[in-house]
Amino acid sequence: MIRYHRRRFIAGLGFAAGGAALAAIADKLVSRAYGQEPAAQKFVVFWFIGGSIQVQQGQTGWGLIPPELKGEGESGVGGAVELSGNTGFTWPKKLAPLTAIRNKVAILDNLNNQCPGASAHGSMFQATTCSPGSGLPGGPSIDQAIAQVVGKESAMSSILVGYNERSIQLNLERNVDSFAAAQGSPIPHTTSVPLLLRELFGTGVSAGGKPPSPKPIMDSLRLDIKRLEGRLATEERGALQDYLRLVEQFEAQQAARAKLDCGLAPSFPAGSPEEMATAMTQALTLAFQCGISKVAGIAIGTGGDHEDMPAYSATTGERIFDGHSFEFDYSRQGGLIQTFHMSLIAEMHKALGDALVSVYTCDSGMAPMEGDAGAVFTHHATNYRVPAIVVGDWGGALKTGGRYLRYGAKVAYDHTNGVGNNQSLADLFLTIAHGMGAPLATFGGPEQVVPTTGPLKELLA
Amino acid sequence: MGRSGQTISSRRGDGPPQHAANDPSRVNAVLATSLVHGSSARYQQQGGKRHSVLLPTITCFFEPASSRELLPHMSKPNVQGLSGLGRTSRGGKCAGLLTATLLAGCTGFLGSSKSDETSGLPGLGSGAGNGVGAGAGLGTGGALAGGGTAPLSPEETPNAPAPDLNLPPDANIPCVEGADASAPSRLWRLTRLQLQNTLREFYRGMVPNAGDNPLEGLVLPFGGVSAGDRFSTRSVSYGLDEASFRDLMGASGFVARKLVADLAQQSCVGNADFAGCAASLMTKAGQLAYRRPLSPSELQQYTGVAIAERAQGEAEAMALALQALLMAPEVNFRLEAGAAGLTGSMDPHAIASGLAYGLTDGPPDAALMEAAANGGLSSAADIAAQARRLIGDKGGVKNPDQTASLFPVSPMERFIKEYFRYDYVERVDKSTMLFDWYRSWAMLEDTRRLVSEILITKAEGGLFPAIFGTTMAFVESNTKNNYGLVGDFGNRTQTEVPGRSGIMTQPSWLAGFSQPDHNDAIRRGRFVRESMLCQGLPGLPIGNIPPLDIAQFPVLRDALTQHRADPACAGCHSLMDPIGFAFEEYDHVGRKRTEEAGRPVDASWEIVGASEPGLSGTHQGAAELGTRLAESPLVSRCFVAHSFQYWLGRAPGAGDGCTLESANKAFQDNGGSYPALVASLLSSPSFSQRKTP
Repeated sequence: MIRYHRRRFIAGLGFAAGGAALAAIADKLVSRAYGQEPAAQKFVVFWFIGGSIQVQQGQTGWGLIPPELKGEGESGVGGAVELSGNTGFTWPKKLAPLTAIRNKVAILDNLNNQCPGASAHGSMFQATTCSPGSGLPGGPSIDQAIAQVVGKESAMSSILVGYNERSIQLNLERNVDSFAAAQGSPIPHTTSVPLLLRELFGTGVSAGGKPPSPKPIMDSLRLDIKRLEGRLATEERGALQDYLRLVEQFEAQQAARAKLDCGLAPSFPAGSPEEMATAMTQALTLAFQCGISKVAGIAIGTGGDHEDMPAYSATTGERIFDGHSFEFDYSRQGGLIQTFHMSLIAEMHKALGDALVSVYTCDSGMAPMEGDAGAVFTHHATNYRVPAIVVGDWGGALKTGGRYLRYGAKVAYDHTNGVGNNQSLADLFLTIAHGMGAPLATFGGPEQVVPTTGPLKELLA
Repeated sequence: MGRSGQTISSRRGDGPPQHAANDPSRVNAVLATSLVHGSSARYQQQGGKRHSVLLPTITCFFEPASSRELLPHMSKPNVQGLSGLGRTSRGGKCAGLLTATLLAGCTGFLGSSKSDETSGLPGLGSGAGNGVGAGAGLGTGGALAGGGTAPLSPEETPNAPAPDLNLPPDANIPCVEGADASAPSRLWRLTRLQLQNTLREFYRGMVPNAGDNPLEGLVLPFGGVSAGDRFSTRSVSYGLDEASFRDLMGASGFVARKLVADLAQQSCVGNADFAGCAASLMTKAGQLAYRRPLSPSELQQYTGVAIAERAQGEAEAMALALQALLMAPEVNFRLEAGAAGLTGSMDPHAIASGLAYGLTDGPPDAALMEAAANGGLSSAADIAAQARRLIGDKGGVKNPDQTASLFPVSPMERFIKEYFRYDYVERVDKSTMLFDWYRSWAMLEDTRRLVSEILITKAEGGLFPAIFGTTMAFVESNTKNNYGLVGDFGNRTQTEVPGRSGIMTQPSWLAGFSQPDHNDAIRRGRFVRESMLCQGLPGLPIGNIPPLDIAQFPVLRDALTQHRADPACAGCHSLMDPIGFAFEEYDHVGRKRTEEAGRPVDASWEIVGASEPGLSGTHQGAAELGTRLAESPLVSRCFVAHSFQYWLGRAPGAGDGCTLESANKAFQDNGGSYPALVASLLSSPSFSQRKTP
């Protein structure tokens, strides 16, 4: 039974809105609270970011390709490459906030988004679940595929958060564009900080109190569902199966929640996009520490178009970043935004230590805006030179080790050719799943199974 | 639920048998049911099942490769562990076949999405093509005409392009006498607004004098809108998930407990005949919540909760019973199933719910409940009459003067918004340095008011000329700059703006279909092609597509010439760009202009491959485009097909041809009356008949 008095913890840290106090002493306190070392816990956060991660922006220096490799297969053609160790290459400017934990980071390059029929602009479900492009997910997003295995006994199987330009402008509480429970089953992520805090730390009905037993309601629902089964066609009964599954899941989660004492909802400023992102990651950190969940997904700037990347005027001092501009400065602005994200990741890792692994990818095309032969950027993304950043190693379960891993490519990257990279983004996803204790064999849905070769042996210990 | 070591099963039951990761037959099976759908086929999808109905598909084979192929030369000595990583796919070959087919599709001719004799042009897609693959392509058209490129060998075919499967509906499904228009039974989840209205009306039905907003403070679920859908009413996109279920428990508990408190003694607390009182209360509550009378077993079930939990206190017992009722699937979803078993006409109460939620976003009113109970919905005429009543005499607009709202509040207004997508103005940012007066929300509200006014005054006749040609506009102090007007327009003033013609010349639409700093003739042209002509286009191909050289060619038309010069681009861009040029007489913030980069604006346009004489040829300007679209039979049919999608929550299928034809006839025969069109759709068998597939 976990007793975690978060209010005392926060008070003891002198917690302020910025959350920077969740620093070096956090691990120690968490250990004391749980009575165990952090490495025994495992948490994972998937970052799906609209826009792009620039692999190669030599001129502005915001890319991920180490300068030591310039001129050698910039387009990724040819051999697989590994630059290993935390001093073996120039650390990318974009990842500056991770410098202190560089030995826990791996940069993966040249992954391929091998979804059948994948779109160059594969955003949203097309990127995270291999959607066939019909606007519906082709299968569970990787966070859900893992949560459905490891989150069964948690108060929340996963925590999904994020925002985009639209959710900010319209003051939406939820978006539906990135995460899915199964084929054809999109699920929303929370885009409102107050709602997130309510979900995690307060019911909104009896804040801080324990909810009444739901058993009579759940039993009644079971009868409703059974009665309806005879009225629906076979295929439509899936909706009822979902309902039933949710009933059972809710009961289990209520039981798990009853064992926690996470206290009342904290208060975070959440006016600007930076504040929202900071608040969300702080809330996730607290939720992990309290034991509410083990899996999280963050979708920032996702949505139907590049224009969904929100403004970061405070961070960049620039006009609103639209994500689809032809301007030369696009990559620099994008780089600044992603560096800001790295700072948030660094803070989470400070608080959660070896227990946390963060996986940072982009969803808009799951690909970089990449030029050939050293051009700064091109108009359209591709899906066969996908980078990813993995931070953390679960106390050695992953072999991140400050490495740059570039997988080989068969053909040059140009206008008319391009397929043939050896490693799929899904292989990375499976690696993380295995590391988290969800040894999935495949990724995708029954009609959208992604070709994979299995977990990356060079990453999984 | 996932199990360790296994893939996650699909939502609607288990999918095909799962194979080992490297089993070629698995991949083969996957691709054999793959995804190059025609528009109708795609929207036939229900409950996550793909219906590869109308088009042959391409099967490809994945072959293992030797590990030697996977060990390209290592350029650094310290490479570790990147060898022997299994097989590579020959996905390139498969992808190439798909690519070639789709590109060939773009280089072929276009008709409407189905080849028809009147067009004189074959459609894309199925049938003998250029010998590429099995002819799978876009649409359900006829033979792929010549003019395409020679087939490419697997080695030289590029990556699979992005088949954009958000295709428009089929506007030309034939009406076959006797065709079965029944749709599968379904559970259609309420939207947040619909749930809000349902709970409010439930509460007001239970508590006399509850007031207009009795549930203040209620936190509701179902707030997400599926971003990838053409319309927000696509029923398969909305279900229940973990977060929504939690929120629903919170909301139902809130309402139940407040109701018990507000009813006080009438909640059965302290009643000597608690069981009898509970039954009576649940009878009334059940009818309001379910939008129909409860069956004896249902009543017994919910009353039983109250009786069983009485030991927790009578107030808590009643609250739990009410909460159990409000959590029921039939409260939060619309059940659309045959009344007699699984097939046949829906139950009259289900029809009533369908009409009410569709047209008012709320539960059936007393008149509709009365009609459902007393045989008043037994004929198409009855249903149509109720639909007309709910639409009212203001084109479905409920709050014409609601200036505070940024978004249409009625389903009719919402359809026009989603059809034209003028809300995209919120997605495109403009330089505040250059346009410090630019207010996207104000532009959006201008157009919302315009749509409202059009529906009020023109819905019953003359809708098309209005939406494609009106010079009316609503202008306020900031948006006058979008129109180039001077003067005081106050908070918002209705005025005439010569030079404007319909919704696609509204600054909101023009800005929404533009880039941050220049026009986007491609997207505009594509929008017209897909939304007005129901002709789908593939998505962007994978590859490093060089950017347009805007710096060298400051006039957009010149910059886009590259698209038509390059054969790899021309196939698709010739279908989009020339249409989009119609709007070049406006800039990217919606201002009228006569010059671009010092040269006179050239707003000549062309619909390449047009199937109607009225749409053929080269013409000038957006007004001319609007006029010709408004007069086009194809555009009318396409509009009807989109309306079908919106109001029925699914795309039309093979059995819906007669419904489409009747709706189009009702539209045309009533002088272009949109309420007549909608009433026709909602009184059709496509709406009211259900079946078991």
